[in-house]
Amino acid sequence: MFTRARRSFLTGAAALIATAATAMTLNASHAQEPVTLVIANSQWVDALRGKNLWNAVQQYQKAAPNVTLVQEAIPSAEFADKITTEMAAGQGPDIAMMQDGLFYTAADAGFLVDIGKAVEGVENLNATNDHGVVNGKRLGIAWQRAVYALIYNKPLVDKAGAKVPVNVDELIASSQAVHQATGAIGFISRHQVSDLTGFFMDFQNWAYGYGVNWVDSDGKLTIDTPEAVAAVTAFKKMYDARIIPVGDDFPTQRTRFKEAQVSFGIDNSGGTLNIASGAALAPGDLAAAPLPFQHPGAHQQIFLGVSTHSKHQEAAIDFLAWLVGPEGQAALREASGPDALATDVPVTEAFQAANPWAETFAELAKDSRSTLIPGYEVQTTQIMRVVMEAVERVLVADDDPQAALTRAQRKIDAKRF
Amino acid sequence: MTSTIALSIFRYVLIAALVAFAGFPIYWMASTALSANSELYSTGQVPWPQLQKLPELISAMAGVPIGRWLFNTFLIACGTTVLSLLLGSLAGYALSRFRFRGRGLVGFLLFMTQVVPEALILVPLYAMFITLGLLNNLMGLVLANVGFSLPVAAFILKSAMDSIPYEIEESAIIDNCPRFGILSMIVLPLIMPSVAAAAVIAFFAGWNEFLFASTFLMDRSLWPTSVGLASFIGQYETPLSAVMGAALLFSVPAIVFFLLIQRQIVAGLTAGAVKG
Amino acid sequence: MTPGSSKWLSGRGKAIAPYVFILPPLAYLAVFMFWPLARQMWLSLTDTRLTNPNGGSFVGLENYQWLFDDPEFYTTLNVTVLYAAVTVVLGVALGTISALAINRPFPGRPLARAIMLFGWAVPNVAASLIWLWMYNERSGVFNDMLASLGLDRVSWLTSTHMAFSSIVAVTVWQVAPFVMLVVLAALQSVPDEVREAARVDGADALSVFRAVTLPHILPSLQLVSLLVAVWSIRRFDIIYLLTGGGPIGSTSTLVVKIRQTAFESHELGVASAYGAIGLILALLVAFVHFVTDRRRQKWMAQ
Repeated sequence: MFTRARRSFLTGAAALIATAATAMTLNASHAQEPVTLVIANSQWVDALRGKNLWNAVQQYQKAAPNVTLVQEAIPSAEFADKITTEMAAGQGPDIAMMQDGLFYTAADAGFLVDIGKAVEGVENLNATNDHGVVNGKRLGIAWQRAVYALIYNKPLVDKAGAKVPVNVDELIASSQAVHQATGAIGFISRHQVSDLTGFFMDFQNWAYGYGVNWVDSDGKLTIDTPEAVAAVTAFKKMYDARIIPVGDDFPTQRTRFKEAQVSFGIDNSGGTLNIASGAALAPGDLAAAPLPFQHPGAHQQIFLGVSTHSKHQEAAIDFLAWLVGPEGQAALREASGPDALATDVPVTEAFQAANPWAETFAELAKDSRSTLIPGYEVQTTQIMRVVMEAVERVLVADDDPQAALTRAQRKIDAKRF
Repeated sequence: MTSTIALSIFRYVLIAALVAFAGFPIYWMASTALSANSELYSTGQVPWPQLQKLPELISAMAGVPIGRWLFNTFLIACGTTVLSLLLGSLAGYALSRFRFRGRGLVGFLLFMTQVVPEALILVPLYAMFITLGLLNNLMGLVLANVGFSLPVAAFILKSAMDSIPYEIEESAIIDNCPRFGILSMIVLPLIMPSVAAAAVIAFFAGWNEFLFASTFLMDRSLWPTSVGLASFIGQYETPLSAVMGAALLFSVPAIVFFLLIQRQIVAGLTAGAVKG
Repeated sequence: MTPGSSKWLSGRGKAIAPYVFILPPLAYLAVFMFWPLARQMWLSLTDTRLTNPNGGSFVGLENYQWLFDDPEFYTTLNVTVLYAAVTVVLGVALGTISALAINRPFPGRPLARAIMLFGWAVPNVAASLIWLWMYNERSGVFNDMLASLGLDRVSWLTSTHMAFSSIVAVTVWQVAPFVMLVVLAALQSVPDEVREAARVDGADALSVFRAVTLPHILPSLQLVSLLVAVWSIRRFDIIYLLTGGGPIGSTSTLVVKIRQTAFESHELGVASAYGAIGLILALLVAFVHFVTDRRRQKWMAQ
């Protein structure tokens, strides 16, 4: 009954409809397919912010109900080692929050995928995301940036009638004054190579503060510059003044500050948030000021990246897109305290009122520099080990700063970074 | 006469000093756990454990899943013990009872395992576990741990078996009993103290282990106490009294287990130690 | 059962038996210990990086050459050997003295013996936490005690003079109980009659010890010395958690360097070279033990 033409038309139509139907079901099922994304972060174990940050991230599940987010919690001391080992072996999380050094290592080793799609059309990305572009590809976006400032315990400082210092000599004088008047510890600072990553990052504030550039205009590593000698000499002066609790690791020093036992400290906004929360020190008693150096200091940054071994790269990128969107950023802001985010979301009024010190950090974030050495991001930890071991010799064995740094320069030249 | 009394006094003073040296850190752990942060960091730690602070300590540790951690630790320790004893007794028996080619080499290989640092084989072991699908489960940890405690168990059991005369087995052999049966039903019961000693060493190896656990596990719910305790030491602060409380809970079961077995151990190590 | 029917009794069965027993444990170790170890030893001849564990190229003995050219390597070697030697001497001495002291019954002996075992029973992580706190310069109990006696506070873990000794103290605290147990066991085997006879003959305690007790416990002492030395070469947790190898490398042993080289510089090849040297060191220790053991057996046979 059907003519040949009609039959072939019907066949064609049927085929077309079938294809369309299949395509639609496929798309629909692809969108509804349950996906599990593993997100690794050392902050999940953080007593203060861990839960809040996770809840913020979980809000994504409202926007994408088929996605289940799962934590991979690793303590910060082991985080870099473990993530590197995992990724090197083809394993690891779908998404990782990586601090500067780890981010560049992962990028350099080819562990991260191009996530340009996540930020397509996002207009208000701020400068914190600039370093996330490596070799022309966007491999990371900013999770949080924590800038450093000088923090102090206002009641203690006022009680001693001490001045908020603007240089190292005044810092020593004020610290000693508070100690005399109240018995409190004058200053807290990292000072041990056993905590290498933390120590060199904190020390960059002193270095940058004295105008140090670890590379010259030709891109060569320059360690024994006069600025560097000045920075190390200043640090040694502070160390010799015995105003810091020598031998304490930094969590212990921060705890002392929390217990209102310390007058001054140099810390980043994340650490300060913790110090200001819940203990003997009330958040209103904590104040912040610019670093007591001539030039701007440093910041720590955490990047978000997607692993090339992830089986759900598309879904991961969708998550990142949500995170830099207005919803994600708003959720993140509440849980992140004063840290700078990927977009300029202002701190909530309630937070600002309760934590007046946060404003200073926001100011300082405008000029701060990365703790990594430009052009040598991946090798920074190794390079800084040589430098910090030289600093250690100056501190503990009374080496001359110039001699120690010259030796460090020779060592670094020999290693051919 | 007086020299004997002097000797006795000297001995008691010595023992007191040794006990103080050995026990003080644990005592101090208890004292720190029962101190408030203000005491620890400013007014000075109170030298005796303030038992009235116990409720505060418990609430400070309430959010910590230490029960889960201890359970995982216990599983790992038991698994390590069982597997080490199983394979160790086989190896010990072979080395004790048979003169076979390669005997010296086997002894040497077993010794070499005691020198290998965990960090050295971490990466290849990790790669291997991926292929075998042993990541993120406690069985994988047991398998990694046993590599280190199996040889110790083998050596202890071998020494003990060396002191059991062969005649005891001969009659069973003549009766055509399979060798495995002889091992399990005749020899092992005779060296139970050494089995206990080997068990304790393997148990502690599993109880204590940290590096493999922190690297091979992903889920927090699988964390043993060693990893949990390390995670407790925050990046931002160290809740010292809670950490010490957890540390005590981590140490006490090991100590208790140890005390229960110690008489066995002393007898167990006697069987082999003198013969060397 | 008829004789000869069990495969264990047939000629071939008898020859197979040892291998059947030794095969499961050996196979197990081959997979989980020797294969990874062999792989690492091979890696020491390559320039493999942690970020690409399969992608290194052969460089021969270059890593070893690099180590031998590095002055810090010799510091590390020194620290390792010194650490092993001192912990053996002090640990064995303390353990032996403890064993001798509590060998004879006295009121409260079970409790004393129990407490003296704490060091070995307490897990590494917990032990390092409490010792860190006790060594704390500002708030630790040791310095508090010194201060109350009018003495200066000591930088237990941050001065190059004290850090090594502080680590040794913790190690000895952990290791002495093990030595004590082994020596106690050996002491049980010393025949009382012989000891009594010697004493009745007028010999003082020291000669009794030298002539009667010492020969009986010498094999145990040797065994325990070997184990403590080898474990010291391998020990990581305590050192890393207390000082991280500092200050200025004064507590950096080979294993600490392995960790640093592998996970900080990401140079797996060099880390494996460190490991290989540690193994050789342990072999030397074992060789010394073997030779001493032979000599002692000859001496005792006289």
